Parts: sequence; structure tokens; C-alpha cells
Amino acid sequence: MSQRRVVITGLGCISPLGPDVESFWAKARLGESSIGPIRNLDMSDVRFQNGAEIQRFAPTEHFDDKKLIPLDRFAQLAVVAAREAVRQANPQWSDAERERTAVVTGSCYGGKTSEDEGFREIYANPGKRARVHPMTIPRLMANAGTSWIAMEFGLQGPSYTVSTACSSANHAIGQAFWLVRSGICDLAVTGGCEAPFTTGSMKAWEALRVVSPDTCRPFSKDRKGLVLGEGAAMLVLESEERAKARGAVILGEIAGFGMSADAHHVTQPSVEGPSLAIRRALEDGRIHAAAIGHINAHGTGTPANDPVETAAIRRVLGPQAQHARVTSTKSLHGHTLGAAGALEAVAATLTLGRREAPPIANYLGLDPDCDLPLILAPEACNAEYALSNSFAFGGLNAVLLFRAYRG
Amino acid sequence: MLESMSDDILQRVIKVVAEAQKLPIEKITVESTFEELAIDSLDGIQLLFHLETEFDINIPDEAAREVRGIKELAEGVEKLVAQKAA
Repeated sequence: MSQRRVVITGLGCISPLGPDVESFWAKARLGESSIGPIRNLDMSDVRFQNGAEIQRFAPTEHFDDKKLIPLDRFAQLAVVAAREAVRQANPQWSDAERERTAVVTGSCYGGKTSEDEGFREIYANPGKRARVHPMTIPRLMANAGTSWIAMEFGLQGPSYTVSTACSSANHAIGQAFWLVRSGICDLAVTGGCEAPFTTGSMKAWEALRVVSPDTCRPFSKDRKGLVLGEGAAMLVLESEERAKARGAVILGEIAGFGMSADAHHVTQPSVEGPSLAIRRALEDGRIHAAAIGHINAHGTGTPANDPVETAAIRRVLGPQAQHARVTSTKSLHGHTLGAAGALEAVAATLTLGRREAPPIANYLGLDPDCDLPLILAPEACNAEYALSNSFAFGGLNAVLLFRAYRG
Repeated sequence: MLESMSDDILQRVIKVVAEAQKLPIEKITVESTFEELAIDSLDGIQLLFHLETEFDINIPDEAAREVRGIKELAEGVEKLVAQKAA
């Protein structure tokens, strides 16, 4: 029996590259990195200084004062991205279809900003009846992005949040994809959202010693680590049948999804886990590795990830690994943790749809252990299929398979 | 009870409600109910937070649950302020 196909009819994002999809792509396609000194935090006691922050985001331009009270920054970003995606998709929901629309988002941290602010007061004033704001719990719950998107559009279908560190958004999009493909839902709003910039989190990342002191250089020699970023991206997924029937503009297709666990080590990646997730994505999409023409890699720029990811890609793709062109857009928008897979899903969709691939920035030269066919300058892309990899701390892997929609 | 209520406390309570709810202060009277002022449960929790700050008091959950309008709110605050002073 042929499976239902799932297409993308709306994209939205707010990221360090810009406030919407077009500004994101204008810089991404040229390989312009948004990484720079972190300005909105006191970084005087932190060893690293650089990050990828969203510039000029004014919450009051998007929400009235009262609505903002229970909204942490990460949920604000989620709603802003979802509004753009829904505006583009213009789904024309009937009431019955609202009940058959899923909202599935990823977030690693939830409302870290609110938690940090509130708890600082408590811990600094023991025994002094210090209080936290009464909206702290609604602000910090990791599902806030999903909840506010559901309320914004009156969506009543299966809705939840996935938290698998750096794989959160890929897990979320994959689940939403399956909900639509299986027929449980007809549409989904899905993606990821993250606002990790608090002093407490920066100190925690510093202690883990995986953050680069300068910039993010995926697969490059002399790479020194990841660079954190913030942002949100959302996709509107829809059954092909419904999208075609209403004459929607179809931007791309999700064709497969694969997951795995390393079951190995909490921070050291393995080749086996990522390989299995890639293989499962290909099997789920019922395609052969030779069909893969483009990869948006996890590509964090840490010494540990990139050679392991190289080996995993080589293991599954075999000879095709010499031809599948590889980028890591984390060098452009930073590692946005629970939003990473969602921003990369936007990039992968546009790469296939507009037939142009964003290059890796900040590359210094070959590391023989990362000898994939890297995209180092803007180039055309005629691939039909692309993979987008996410491999999380904790060894949880999620890989999406995208297909260029050619009717 | 109304006659004995401190006008100062009542006015301060009304001011807190007006600011928190972004309502014109003249719209709020001692007889206003939360329903009339469109104050829902979430708004109510935030009001208590602001009143605790304004009067430097600790409002217990049981006391808070019964409050349905400005009069009860001001009376409750007055009682807690008196307890604090005692």
C-alpha cells in the first residue's frame, strides 16, 4: 500500500541570522556567520565570549503587555516563528481540521531565562521570604512553546514537546511527520525553540569544556568547539492530498525519519548510534543511500562530534559519501540546541527547493578525519534527497530525510 | 465591615489592581467583582503577588481561594497587615 506523502507548506524562523525566513536565507545562502560577542549577558566571569544572539528582538512588537507576562523568551520565539509559518501556509482550517492538527515542538531547556532570574533571588536571600514570580512555572515549562502555539491558532490535535537536548527539534519534526503520514493528523505545526543565554547556563557550558573560545568551524582542522545560539523555527506539515486539493504552494517534502540511541556514553559520541539513525531514516523513506545528494550535518564543530559523524556518514552512505555534499549551518546560526534541527530543517527545505546550498563558514583547512565533500562556498544544489542530522548529548540521535518537491 | 475598612488600604489595593490589570483606576470600586473586571484565575494569582509586595505580607493559599472581588481582597489585606503589626 502506498503511504501518504507529507509536504511542507509553511516555514517560519527567528534566528541570529534575522527575524524571518527570508533574512535567514539571505545570509545563510552566502555563508555569512552571525557569531559574535554575547552582548545581552554579563560574560566577565565566563571563559568564552562568543555566541549567536538574535539581534533587535522587541517582544512588545509581537505581544501585548499582558500576554507577555507568562511567556518566557523561548516561547515568544516559538510563537513568532509559528505565526510566520502559518501565515505562509494559510492552512484554511475548518473546526474539524483544528482537531486533526498536531503541534509538536522541541526544546532542550524550556524557560531557562525565567528560572535563572527567579531562582537567583531565592538562593541569594535564604530565609528572607524571597519569592519568585507567580508565572515562573508556566514560563519555564518546556511545553510552553507548544501550548502557546496551540492557543494562538486554536489547534486541538495531539500536542506535546520533546526534550532530547540537541536532537529535540528533529525528534519533534519526525514525530509530527509520522502523525501526518499515518493519518492520525492531517496537519502539524512543528519545530523547535530555544533561548539558552543565561549566566548560569553559560557557566555550565564553560564547565563542560565544549564551547569554542572563538568561533564554530565544522569539520575544519583546528576546530575548538561549538558556539551556542538562540532561535526558533517552525514548519507547517500537511498531507500532500490536502495541500494539492486546496492549491497550496508546496515548499518541500519530508520523506523519512530515523531514531536511535548510542547506549554508550553521556557525552562521547559513537559511530554506531548515528549510523543506525541515518540507516533508519533511509529505510523509513524507502530509498537507497545512493539517492542522498545533500547533508545538513549535525556538525557542531567540537573535536569529538565531527570525525564521528564523518565515519557514520561514510559507513551508511558507502561510495555515495564521496558525492553527497555536506554543510553545517551551525557555523552560521550557532548551536541553538532544542531549535537546531528546526533551523536546519528550514535550511534543508530551502536548499532543495531553491536549488542552492549554504556553505560552511569559518573553515581553516582539511582535517583528514573529516574528509567529507564539504560545501565551502555558495553552490548550486540539484539533489533530490537531503539528510538533516541531529545527535544529542546523552547519545540520542534523530535524522530527517527531506525530498525536493517536484510535483 | 465596610465602614471600618481603612480607606488607605482600599485605595492602595485598587491601585495595585489597576496597574496589574492595566485598567483605568476609576473603573474599579470597592464593590467590583473579579468577574466584572475580567480578572481570571491566572490574573488573580498575579494580583496576590503584587499585593504581597505592596504590603509586605504573606497571603496564605486558603485565604486567597475565597476572594471574589475588591472588597474581600481589601479586607483580607487589612487583616494580614493588622496581624503583621500585632
